[in-house]
Amino acid sequence: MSICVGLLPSTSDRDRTSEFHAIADFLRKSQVLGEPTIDSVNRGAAELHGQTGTATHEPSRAACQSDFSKRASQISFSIHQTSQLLANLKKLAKRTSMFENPAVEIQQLTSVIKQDITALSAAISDLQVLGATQNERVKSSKHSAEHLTMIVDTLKNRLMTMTKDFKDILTFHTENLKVHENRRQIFSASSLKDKANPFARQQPLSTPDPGASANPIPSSSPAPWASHLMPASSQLFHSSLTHRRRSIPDEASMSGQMQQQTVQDTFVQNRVATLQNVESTILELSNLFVQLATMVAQQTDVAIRIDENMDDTLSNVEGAQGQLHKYLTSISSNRWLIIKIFIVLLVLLLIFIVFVA
Amino acid sequence: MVLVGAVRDYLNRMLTDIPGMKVLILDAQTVGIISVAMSQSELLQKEVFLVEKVDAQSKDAMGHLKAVTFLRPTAENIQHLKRHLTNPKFGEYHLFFSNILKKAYIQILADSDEHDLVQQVQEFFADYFAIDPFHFTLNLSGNHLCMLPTVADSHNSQQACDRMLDGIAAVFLSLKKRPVIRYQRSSEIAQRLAQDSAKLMYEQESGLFDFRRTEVAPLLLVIDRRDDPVTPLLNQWTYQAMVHELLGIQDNRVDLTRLPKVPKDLQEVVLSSHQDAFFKSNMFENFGDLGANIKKLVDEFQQKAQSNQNIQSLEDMVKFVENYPEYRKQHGNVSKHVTMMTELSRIVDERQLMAISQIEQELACTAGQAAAFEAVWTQLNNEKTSDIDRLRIVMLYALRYERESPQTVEQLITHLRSWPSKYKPGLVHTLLRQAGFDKRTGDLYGNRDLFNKARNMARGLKGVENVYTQHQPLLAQTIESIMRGRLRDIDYPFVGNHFQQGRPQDVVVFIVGGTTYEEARTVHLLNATQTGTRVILGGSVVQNSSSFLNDLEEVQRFQ
Repeated sequence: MSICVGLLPSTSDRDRTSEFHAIADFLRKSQVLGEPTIDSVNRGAAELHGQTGTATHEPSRAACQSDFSKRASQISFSIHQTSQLLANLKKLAKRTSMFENPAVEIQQLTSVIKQDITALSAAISDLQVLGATQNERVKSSKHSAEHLTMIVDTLKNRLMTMTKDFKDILTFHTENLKVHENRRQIFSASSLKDKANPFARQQPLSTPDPGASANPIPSSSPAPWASHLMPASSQLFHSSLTHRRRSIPDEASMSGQMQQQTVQDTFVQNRVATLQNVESTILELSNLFVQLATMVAQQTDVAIRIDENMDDTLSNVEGAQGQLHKYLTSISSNRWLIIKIFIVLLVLLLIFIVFVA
Repeated sequence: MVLVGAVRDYLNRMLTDIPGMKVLILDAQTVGIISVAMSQSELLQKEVFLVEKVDAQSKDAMGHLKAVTFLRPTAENIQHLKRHLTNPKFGEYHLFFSNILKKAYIQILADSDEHDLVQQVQEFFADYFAIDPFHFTLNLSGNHLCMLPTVADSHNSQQACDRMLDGIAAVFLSLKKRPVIRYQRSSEIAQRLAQDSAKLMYEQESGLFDFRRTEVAPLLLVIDRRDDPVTPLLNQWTYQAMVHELLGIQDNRVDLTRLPKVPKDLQEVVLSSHQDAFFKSNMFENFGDLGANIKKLVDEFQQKAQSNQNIQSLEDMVKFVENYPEYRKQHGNVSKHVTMMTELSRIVDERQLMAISQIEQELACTAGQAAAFEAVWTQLNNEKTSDIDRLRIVMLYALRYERESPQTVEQLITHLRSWPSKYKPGLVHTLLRQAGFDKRTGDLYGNRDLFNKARNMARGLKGVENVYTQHQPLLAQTIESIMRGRLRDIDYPFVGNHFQQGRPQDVVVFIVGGTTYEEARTVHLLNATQTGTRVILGGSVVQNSSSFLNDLEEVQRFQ
């Protein structure tokens, strides 16, 4: 045995002494802090985060603590309000339609939020200073100091995430604006660069209205065949219609009929252009069909040749089958073969018994 | 020396790292765990002057001693420890636990450690009885629960299952391995145990089990005793197995108090393979060879005794005194084995075990229903046959010919009833219900597929070396298929999505419901020949025929 000890695999174990000591230390400390019966660590742990453990210790510190916490809660409340504003802003920015672009509202909200954020960050740094001075003044325990820094950190974190959100929304919004701009260029300006577009040469057919670039409504009603180029545009077309329907009573009450009239005119003109487009596409298509028909006619020859080849193959296979059949009948009556197979089987069996088993 | 070595390693680290005089505090289970691995004198060498049970109620305080506790992490033990810590008797406490300690328990202990006495808390995973290098057991109380469905006694069954899970986990932790797990599909408890262990090793304590990966993951195979009911029913003829069958071994100790004419110092003897060289070399020898070897041992001893007797000069005397402890030790050893041997041969004669065992082996190994029936019938009619032997041969017959000729089985059972017996007559039926043909997965008699049949036939042609040891336990076949990678996935599915690639280097076979020493011998021989694969066998208990029948009786009471 003693020889084997050296060769042993070292066995595994787990040392939980430190865990034990940690728990013991913790229990002891919480007992010192004036908790008479501690039966579970969970309660003790909760106490670590709550302020009861330190607050009951010293009244003066409690006052400072409460001042600190009041300010902290104020800051947190205003952060909450700002975040609500931010949500509003987000909702506005998400509106992709370019018609009722709430630019003014967005501007206002952005400035408000910006002010809020700067104010908040100032308040938080104030709070931090307050916490630090408090710590110095009232030689408070490590836990409470940790607690203060933790609160400040949380607030900072929240502010940080909020600022990040704000930035995201702004970038999203600018992106949105850029997309709108692009779209306007596609549908309003002469699109010479669109050579890849199969319908590009029909573009000159449509008469681009110089006023359309300024007016969002006609530019956003492209022909339906363009829908696969820009998936959003068909919805856009639809939404523009609904918008128009909705906006008629609105604008009738708000502004004069005149503007309404010009809008109607440009719209009709555009419809004419698109109809012309459709017509030309159909012509093109009919051309294609004629071409296809001639191609099919050319293929007939090849098809006939394939058919003949198939017939040949079939007859060959049948011949082969007949030959195989003949061979089968010839070997099925072969007595010698049967005997040979038996001999082979016997030899195999012998080998099996002698060597394998 | 794998398992025994692991436990000894743990003990060494536990005891040598703490200097000074120590007292070892143990519970009922860890006493056994330590006693099979280390002797009292070795403990004394490590300055352990007192061994005490954790629930012992002694009053006197001994502040100069350091308490080393080695306990299973159970609720009772924690309560006892709490009592110790609040009312300390010893100067320091070093707490060692044999398994994973729950967090709640640490909190209780920490809470009660008012006097700052606890120096360390460690988990040393020696939670199994390493009776042999490759054989461990758990000494599960209530082993019959392994045969009952879970619903019959769900609380106790859960406890038994937890204990087995702890044992398996400890074995793998001390081997520093994380296995892939397979189980026998037809057994409910094997499946449950396998799934529980997978959950423990891969989910709950995956950090603890995260050892360096080997190329081929080791294998844990959980099988059910009921798949091979024949092995525990057979008479054994190799030394260790025979002693267990006829006298009973408990934690490597044999109790001889009940026997007539036993000298006082031999009333309880230790049969441990790492403490007794003679036993180590002969534990797997059959009865005949064993007789010859004991003769040789006695001759040797006689020579030594003679040389000791002729003391003529002063030098001789000095030599004699020097050699005297060695001489005493050898004397004790020789008389132990001789006593055992005489006792065994007395029982063999008394119960006519030669004849009975031949019938048993034939029932287990060769087919031939008519001849077997004849032999069993005449043996039943023999006046001298004891009741347990009658029951056993009828059971073996029933297991073998349950399908082929059920009417002769019934005939034998009715005939068995006409003899007086302390066993209830329904046991044969209980056995068939528990471990009959439909319940078994493995090919117990080698008659399920053509290949095995042919192999059996070939073996019959070759002839057998020894009629009494021709039986090969089913486990041998199972392990062989594992080594060749041919164990069928349908019968022994994997748990989870961890699969075996290639031949495993380490195989732990856990038999729910108990191992036998015959299987331990098979495993040992396999390990001796196969250099590539190491097989470790474990079970809830170590069965012999009487304990197996007792379990069956318990099961019958439930039904």
